[in-house]
Amino acid sequence: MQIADLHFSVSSGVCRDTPLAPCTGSDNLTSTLLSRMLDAEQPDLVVFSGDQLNGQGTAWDARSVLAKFARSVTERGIPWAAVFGNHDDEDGDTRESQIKYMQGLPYSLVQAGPKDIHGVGNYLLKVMSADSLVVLNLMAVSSQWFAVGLIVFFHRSKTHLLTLYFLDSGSYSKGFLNWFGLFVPTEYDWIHQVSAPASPHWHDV
Amino acid sequence: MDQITPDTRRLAKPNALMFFHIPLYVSRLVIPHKLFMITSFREESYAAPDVDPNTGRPLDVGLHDLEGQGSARKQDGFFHKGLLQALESDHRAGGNAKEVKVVSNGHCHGQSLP
Repeated sequence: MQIADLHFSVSSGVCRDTPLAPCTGSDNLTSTLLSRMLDAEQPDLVVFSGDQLNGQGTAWDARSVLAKFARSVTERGIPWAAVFGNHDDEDGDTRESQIKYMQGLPYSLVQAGPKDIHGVGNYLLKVMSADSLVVLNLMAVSSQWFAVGLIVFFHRSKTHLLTLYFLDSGSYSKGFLNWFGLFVPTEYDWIHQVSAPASPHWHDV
Repeated sequence: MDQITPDTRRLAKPNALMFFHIPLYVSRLVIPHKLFMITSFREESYAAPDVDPNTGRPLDVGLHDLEGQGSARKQDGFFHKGLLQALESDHRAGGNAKEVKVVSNGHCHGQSLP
């Protein structure tokens, strides 16, 4: 399940773009909606696709906002990943520090990614098959007492089923750099380098 | 015995999904006449959707046009040099599909309908 643009604040939030009237505590209302959707869909993974923080002067304590934005997900024990949007670091806390906060939250799969790649939070995750332990080999051995024993090897035959790429698409222009939605060669070179098949599988033609 | 080569299956990377916040911008060059060129800038994120080959209907689900286009205003070739060059295998012969099957963005909120 993808969750986009929560725009959470330090406060309980100000409602906008909604016909609901009166409307107060938008963050609480959003969390309630998220909880209902998570219970209905029961996803295996949640992806937050940016602007978890509202910025615009309302998310001045990023740590407190980050502590609450994923609560509906973490309370249900669901693993989650996230990318940054253009508002997330608007009120001071850097992307690098926010990555560290998020990595400290339960069930977080967030990674900072390589430092030589433009942006923060460029990483990939691999979805593996849910294979149970499989008996691989049976080996009969005879000891010096001519007893026959069996050595049983177990291992997981997990197969790489799906790759998830997470990229930082930048934020508003700061100084001379216009980074709004602009990917530069370090990022698209990176997706070619990192996507080498560790365990490729067969496709039907 | 003759060597049997697989003709119904091929080794390839798994499918990929890609997530990033701001939708992409892609420019396209159009040459309408041999004497002059007109450059058409079109944002790929908002281009006409593909058509389902089975039904003939556009692959366009959900609401749209609730707000202006929110894609990037500049690009450095990520779509053509990045996404379209990430293939399922290293084979360059015909039939090699793109590794990334879905790109998913955020950023564009849409306003609620009255």
